[in-house]
Amino acid sequence: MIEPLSLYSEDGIYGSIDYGSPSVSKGFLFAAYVCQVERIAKEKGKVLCLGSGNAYDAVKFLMEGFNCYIAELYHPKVDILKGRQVKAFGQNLPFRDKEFDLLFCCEMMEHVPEEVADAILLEAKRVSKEVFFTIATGDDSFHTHICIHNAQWWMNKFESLGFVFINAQANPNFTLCTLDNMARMVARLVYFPDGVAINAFC
Amino acid sequence: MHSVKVFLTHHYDIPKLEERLSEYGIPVYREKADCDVAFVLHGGLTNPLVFDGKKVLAFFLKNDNHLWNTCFVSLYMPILRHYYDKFIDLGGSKSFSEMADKIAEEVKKLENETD
Repeated sequence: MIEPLSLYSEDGIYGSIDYGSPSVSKGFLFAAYVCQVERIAKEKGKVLCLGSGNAYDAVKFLMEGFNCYIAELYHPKVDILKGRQVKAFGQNLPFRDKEFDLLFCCEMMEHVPEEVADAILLEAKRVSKEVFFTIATGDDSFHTHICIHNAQWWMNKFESLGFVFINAQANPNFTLCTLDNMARMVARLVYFPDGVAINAFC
Repeated sequence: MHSVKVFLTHHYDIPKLEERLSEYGIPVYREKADCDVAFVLHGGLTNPLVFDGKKVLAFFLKNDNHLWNTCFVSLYMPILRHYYDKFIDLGGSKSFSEMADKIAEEVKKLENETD
């Protein structure tokens, strides 16, 4: 297995023109959905994006007025993120208990060894009041998914660790509403056919 | 004169476009390569952070696809503005040949652009 600090770096897969594109990662689409959840939108609280890769999700949260930070091994050079990036492994986050209102983690858990999955989820539970996870349940073309399980396996794991589900979906389907340039409401489905989404209180 | 290179992700294979661009002497790069200006085709499936220097995203909105246009303009573009220095609209539904003509024109402008 390649060491994660090397793999998730500019000299690793982030040096590829094909890896970490906004369409494939879907992070910002799920972030856009979360920004529309009334309970979350009302607070505009402190958000931690865990394992956010190219950080489209964090950019979206910042643009929407959230106080957003990133915990990642890879730090993309994007101006709006300056001073908000912390290099950390998910199982050892350098934050206080319940420091964040929301921990957002899109498509990271499938990249971590199964033996540390519990530790990462418990650490997420420690630092945040609520979590939103999306996790792929199949392999990717770069073969970087090393913790592949079906949606039920992940739901059982979250439940066994004491998370209280708000919304848990296999093959998740979320409706994202936006306005076009004529100010007409347009709905778009954010569909993740080979994944699971879990929004839960900690 | 700036060195401008045109990039297209492996997710797409558009031989007609590449063929026409080659008539202008413009190769299409599938891997990162040194240049002053990266001219990126199809930003939705490209990692924008592999390029050094100025980054330009070329896009085109299809005349008959209202949903995609809205999605791109209202969702993708505001985010991608943090990753690209400039956007170039290649125009509505064009043939690959017309698109290549437009790309060649824009590449020429970027080559001659003064900072």
